[in-house]
Amino acid sequence: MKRRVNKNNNRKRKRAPPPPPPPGSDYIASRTRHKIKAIAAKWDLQTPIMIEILNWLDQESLINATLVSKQLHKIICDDGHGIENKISPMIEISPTNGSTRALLEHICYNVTDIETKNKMRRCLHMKVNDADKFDHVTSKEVKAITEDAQMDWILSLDMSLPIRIGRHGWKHGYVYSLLDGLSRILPNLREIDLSNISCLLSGTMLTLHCPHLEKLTWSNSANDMFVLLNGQGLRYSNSIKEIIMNDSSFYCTQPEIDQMSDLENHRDTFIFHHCSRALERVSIRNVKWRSVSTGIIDMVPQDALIKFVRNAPSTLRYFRSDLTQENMTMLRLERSEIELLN
Amino acid sequence: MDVEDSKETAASTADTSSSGVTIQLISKEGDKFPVPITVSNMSELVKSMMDDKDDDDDDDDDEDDDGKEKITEIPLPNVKSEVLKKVIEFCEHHLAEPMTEIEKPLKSQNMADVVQKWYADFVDLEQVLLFELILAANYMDIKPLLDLTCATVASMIKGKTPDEIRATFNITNDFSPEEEAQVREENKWCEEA
Repeated sequence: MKRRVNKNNNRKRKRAPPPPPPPGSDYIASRTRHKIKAIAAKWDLQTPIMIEILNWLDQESLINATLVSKQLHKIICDDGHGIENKISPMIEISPTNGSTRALLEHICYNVTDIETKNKMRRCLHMKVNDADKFDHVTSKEVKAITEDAQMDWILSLDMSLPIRIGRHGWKHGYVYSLLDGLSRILPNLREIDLSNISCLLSGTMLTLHCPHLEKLTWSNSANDMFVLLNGQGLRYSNSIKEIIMNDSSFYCTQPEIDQMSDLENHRDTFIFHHCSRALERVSIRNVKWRSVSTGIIDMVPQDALIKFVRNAPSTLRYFRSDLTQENMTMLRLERSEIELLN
Repeated sequence: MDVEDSKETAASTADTSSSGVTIQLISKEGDKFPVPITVSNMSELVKSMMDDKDDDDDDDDDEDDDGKEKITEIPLPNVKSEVLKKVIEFCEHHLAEPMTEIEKPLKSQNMADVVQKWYADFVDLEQVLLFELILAANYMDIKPLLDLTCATVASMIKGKTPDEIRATFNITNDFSPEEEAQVREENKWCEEA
């Protein structure tokens, strides 16, 4: 209950309402007044607000922000300012002669050199530029080169291309070789981005080599991937939480797409049912399914999308798809905890 | 805030919010904005000022000499009328349709992808007003509004190159080429193959 002063006791001396904090005062909403006072003494004007803004940014954006001005660099990089998402330097790989073998051997050599390895340990992320320019190596060779080399501290790999180049061309195997090698060397990957990459990959290799994979981003793969709509290729990861695969087409058989769209029967057959255990966010906007037997491509039926929402685990919070407004309205009544977008 | 304080605040909020009391928020220009206490209580600043006022007024009658109910006035000398109007609009809507929590880090450059449409439209503002809204949210201690406005500015940074960020916010590049190269080195370990 609210504290009350006994009216019969000493009357409190009337004082003016507490003045509001001065303009631009150094405190942040939601903090208690006690905390506010402590922070106000330490931080410069406006810096707390900048930190509030910067705390919304991902690694890539934060790194770019460090290059904007000395003030931003200082706020982001100096400890003690309270940036939640600390910058982790990344290993950036660019092709010079495009030799996948040379790259993998070079990485393996660095990992065996203690001094270099310690320097590389600062980096939790790896980015490959122009991944399509690396050449082909047989799987046997890749396995032999990478057998004793692991960079188990790397958590994310970005092999995405800025724009999609060509379609269904001869470069598939080349990207596959590089991905095969890197996924063997990086067994603790949590995130991978293959956007705009052409590669006939089912996902099995990825989740076998990287069983802790949590987030797969592979948008705009068009018809150039071999991921099954039932999620079978991703089944070796126990913890896939996020799938972002917009503008892509998934393989499926006609009987299975029929079962996935059957709202009355086959309860356990729905989109991504092989890898749905921990799903939290799924974005499959403008996706199609491609028949394994005939190659015919068609839109994923509304009923299949509806069935996915109905059968999705309780962890699912976000689903972006081509669901119609009408169906989203209906599903919001059934699964209000899921944010449905299109 | 300790547990006891927190309980007291919650109790006081519950007491006053159900009473239909109106608060007058007074802007920098002296304009008065009457709002229900449920709306004004979204501001931790206003709420704490009300708490302090309650403590002070404990011994006083709740009515003036002529029997009229007193209307509490809260001066907000740092908030312009134009901004205060937007703040109130946000608080009123938030009570009707609470804003969904925005996920960190931001998933999209488009605010409509991360928050309900009304809120995305609400922050579709000129940069000057957006920054004034951030200052007001911070000053008035309104966490959801601060989240929304700061996330909006972050969405204007996300995915942009340093040059594009400078152009967006009119920031001068004070790095020498050598210093810029050094910062790039700090962030990356380059391999070439």
